[in-house]
Amino acid sequence: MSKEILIWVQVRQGKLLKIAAELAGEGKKMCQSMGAKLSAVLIGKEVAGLTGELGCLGVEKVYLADDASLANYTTEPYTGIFASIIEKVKPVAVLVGATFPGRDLAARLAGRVKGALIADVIGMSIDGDKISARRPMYSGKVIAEVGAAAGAIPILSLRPNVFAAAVKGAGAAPEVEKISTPAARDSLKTVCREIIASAGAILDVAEADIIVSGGRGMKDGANFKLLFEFAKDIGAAVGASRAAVDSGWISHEHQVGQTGKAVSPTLYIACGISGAIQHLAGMSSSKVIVAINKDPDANIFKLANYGIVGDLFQVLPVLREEILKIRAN
Amino acid sequence: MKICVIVKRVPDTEANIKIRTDKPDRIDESEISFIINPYDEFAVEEALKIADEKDGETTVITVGSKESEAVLRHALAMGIENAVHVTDNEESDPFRTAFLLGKVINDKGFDLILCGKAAIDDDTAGVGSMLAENLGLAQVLVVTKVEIAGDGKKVVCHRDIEGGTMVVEAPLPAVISCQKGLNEPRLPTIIDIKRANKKALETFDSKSYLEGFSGPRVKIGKFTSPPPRPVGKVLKGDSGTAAKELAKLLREEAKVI
Ligand SMILES: Cc1cc2nc3c(=O)[nH]c(=O)nc-3n(C[C@H](O)[C@H](O)[C@H](O)COP(=O)(O)OP(=O)(O)OC[C@H]3O[C@@H](n4cnc5c(N)ncnc54)[C@H](O)[C@@H]3O)c2cc1C
Ligand SMILES: Nc1ncnc2c1ncn2[C@@H]1O[C@H](COP(=O)(O)O)[C@@H](O)[C@H]1O
Repeated sequence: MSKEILIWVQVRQGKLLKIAAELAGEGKKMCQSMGAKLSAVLIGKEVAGLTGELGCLGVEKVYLADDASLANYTTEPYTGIFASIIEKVKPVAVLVGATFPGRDLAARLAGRVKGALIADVIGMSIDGDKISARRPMYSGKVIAEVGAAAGAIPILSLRPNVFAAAVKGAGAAPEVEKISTPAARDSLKTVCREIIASAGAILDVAEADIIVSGGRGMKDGANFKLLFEFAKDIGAAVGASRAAVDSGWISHEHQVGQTGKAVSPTLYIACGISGAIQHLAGMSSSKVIVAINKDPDANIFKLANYGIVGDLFQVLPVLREEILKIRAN
Repeated sequence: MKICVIVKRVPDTEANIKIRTDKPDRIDESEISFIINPYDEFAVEEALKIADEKDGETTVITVGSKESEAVLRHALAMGIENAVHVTDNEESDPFRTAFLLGKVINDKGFDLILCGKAAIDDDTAGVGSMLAENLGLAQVLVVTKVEIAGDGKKVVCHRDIEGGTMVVEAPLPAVISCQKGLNEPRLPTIIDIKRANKKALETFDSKSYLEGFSGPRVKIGKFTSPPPRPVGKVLKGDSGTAAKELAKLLREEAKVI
């Protein structure tokens, strides 16, 4: 039997998430080192049409479970389907995105197949058949090198926005194998009653390339409008410090930090954030950090690639204008 | 209604984490203080709230060294009735923890098991799911609202997903992981703390529960410090000039916009 790497290609509102291309990109690299084939697990409702796009991303085989009951992620049926594929294929690795559903699935799967759960991976190296993953621990204060114990299938969740996406090619149509939907064990049946889209947020911080984040220096909840407008025009997500969230200025889903979300955007713009250790824990792995703060001694400047000592209410509008101008050229 | 909360002892969020020079797969614990995992405080608070409404009985369980007794005492001080300490001196590993908890909890028949979204030391967010799997229970993770429904037969939760909230209904018993936003954990008073310190704990040695354990699934090779960040540039001039300069640098030098 040939070796296979399985990637979970997550679908939202009929479209593949960006992380699917990132998993395909990293998965393909791993396949080349390990002499394995790249296969995707595609689960959802009316998703069969996405197999062509997966072929363009370099996927050679698709395990497809397409059923009306699978429209939204719930743990039990998705785990059941995925586990049945793992038991048959015995993959050398399973990759999912470190999204909320991805981390849910990876952990339950690891429990079921007694796999090696390695969460929130930000780097990978392969030596022969051995995978060594790098992941932040202690909220990014250290990076751990983690591998699977002998006999355990590595089940890795990869942090979005860290790994290079597969370049779309012509791509042959992948082989498609239909997987029957195992009946969910009734005793475990969870039902998605509804999905409430969050107000105002265009992009989730965990998935965004650019984050503009506000802290206590924003002074008032109403002023977050400035950040939402900036985010809308530039194509960014809005983040926040815990001080801003705890003041009730913005909802907790925006919080970045040790007890918020860990993010790795290309660009993180911190406005009126002092740079407490718990905030840095969530964003210090951003590629480029910009700090806008009135206080020249603010800790955030120690991390920032670029800093402006000044009033965010004066800086931000000009920055927005300038970026729009530059982009228009 | 019998409610169980599982809690972990973790380094304080302020802690400056240093890697041990003699053992590069361990951190130096000598100068750090430990706290109850912040997400587990939401779980404790929620257990107390539900017990209050549904006339429930609450139990807190931890797996860990002798020192982790302190987090049980904290939960007791917040108002939890019973505490169970599974003493274990191995380096913490979610797979092992979930195995041990599964064995201990299986004996006790809870209707609801609450845990934290993730432990802020290993950041795995694995124990809740693996425990649910070991016990054959439903799970709902990263929850910001919990409502017991159907005469205590089911639970309706709001869980975080990217871009919004999913409203999920699950049968009880179930495992639920608690996220910030769920509630405001209460602060115990000095009297609460004194009372909690006098309470008896139930203690088990992990050895009596390890039969059938297949060993750790992951191996930690070593820790390294995150790469240092480059020395930054502070842009001069008035706000407008600096902002213009910044936009230019983000485009031409950093190439990120
Ligand atoms: C258990 C625990 C967990 C925590 N988890 C998190 C977490 O996940 N995320 C998090 O962020 N924090 C977290 N914290 C809180 C953290 O310790 C800090 O309190 C918090 O990050 C401070 O937020 P801030 O930087 O917005 O506010 P402050 O520290 O008050 O800083 C405000 C900054 O704004 C600047 N400023 C004011 N006005 C202006 C202006 N007009 N223009 C420009 N700059 C201005 C000031 O100079 C100052 O530097 C946690 C704390 C604990 C104890
Ligand atoms: N040693 C432990 N004892 C009891 N509960 C634990 C332990 N480790 C983790 N947990 C629980 O599982 C949650 C997730 O932890 P983790 O999977 O380590 O991120 C924590 O928030 C706790 O509620």
